[in-house]
Amino acid sequence: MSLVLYKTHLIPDLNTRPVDLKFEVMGDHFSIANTIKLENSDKELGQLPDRRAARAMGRSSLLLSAVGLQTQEILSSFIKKDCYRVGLYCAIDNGPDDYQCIQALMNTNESEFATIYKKNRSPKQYLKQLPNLAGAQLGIFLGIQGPLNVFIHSQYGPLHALEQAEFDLNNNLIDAALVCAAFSLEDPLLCHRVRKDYPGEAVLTEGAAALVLVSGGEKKNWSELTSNVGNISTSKRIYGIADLLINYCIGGDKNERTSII
Amino acid sequence: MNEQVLFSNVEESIRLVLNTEAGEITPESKLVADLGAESIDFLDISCELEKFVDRELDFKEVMTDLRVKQGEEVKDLTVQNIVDYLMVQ
Repeated sequence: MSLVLYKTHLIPDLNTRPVDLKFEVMGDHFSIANTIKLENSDKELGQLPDRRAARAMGRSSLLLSAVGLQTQEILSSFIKKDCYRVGLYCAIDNGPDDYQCIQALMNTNESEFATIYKKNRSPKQYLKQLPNLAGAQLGIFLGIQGPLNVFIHSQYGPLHALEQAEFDLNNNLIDAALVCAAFSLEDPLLCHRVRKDYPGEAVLTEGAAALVLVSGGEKKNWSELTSNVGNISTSKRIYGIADLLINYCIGGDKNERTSII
Repeated sequence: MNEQVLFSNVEESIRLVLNTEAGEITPESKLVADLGAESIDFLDISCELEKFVDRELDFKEVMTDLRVKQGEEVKDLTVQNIVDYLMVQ
């Protein structure tokens, strides 16, 4: 049993027209049809409580933090009471790869590999790529020290996050759960894969959503959220891994709060 | 490369890594105390700087060099310390 205390989302304006997104990977040019990016630049999203952190974060991670930080006010009383009893449950893809570095390393011989690797590979690249670090970073910003769970299933990630959060609430492991998900169009091959998962005219859209769950209310059947998976109307927006959560959070008013008596 | 160009390269490398505002980094800025750099940032700055100066910058060497010059232990580096070290190399 859980109660949605607060929900919020970050998506492009509904009037934004889709465009084809162009990429170059390993010298090959290709485009992903029908996409919408959020207007916020990485630099804007990088205005975080620790400004240095952005250097080690991919765009999805920045979006996750941007939307997660909107819950700061509502979570503050729980964190103040006991920061170990607030959990974080995220659905996010692996961070972007550095294809320029890979290209530089291709066809190098053994003797020059180490030098070229060191010159081209950012020491923070691995931090960008690990999805659990995106969640950990948000937890650090908010001061959450409870369980951190990160799910990376491309369609059911948010469902896994919601069910784990509800399980932890029901077992009295936590007092509050922050469930969040984010999807960005940063990595070309990820975009390519998601594009292939959905019909050609569905619009791949960047976005993020977060909701705060607490104990109480009725047992939620979160799996109902998945009834539309694989049954996508061609003109619908698709938010990648974050789709289920964003669609749930879009229902009702933005920044909707439930009062607990 | 003259000192002014070198300073601007060092400044840009640090600004990229530490995400500071333009004009925030001065020659007197200390990497740890003023700009909040951590160990991984030193590595990152070194990599960024290598793209400009085409040579590896080992911060341990910079600190050793400075300790020899000053005759005392060095706990933090200023941006000018890095520029000075690179100028004589």
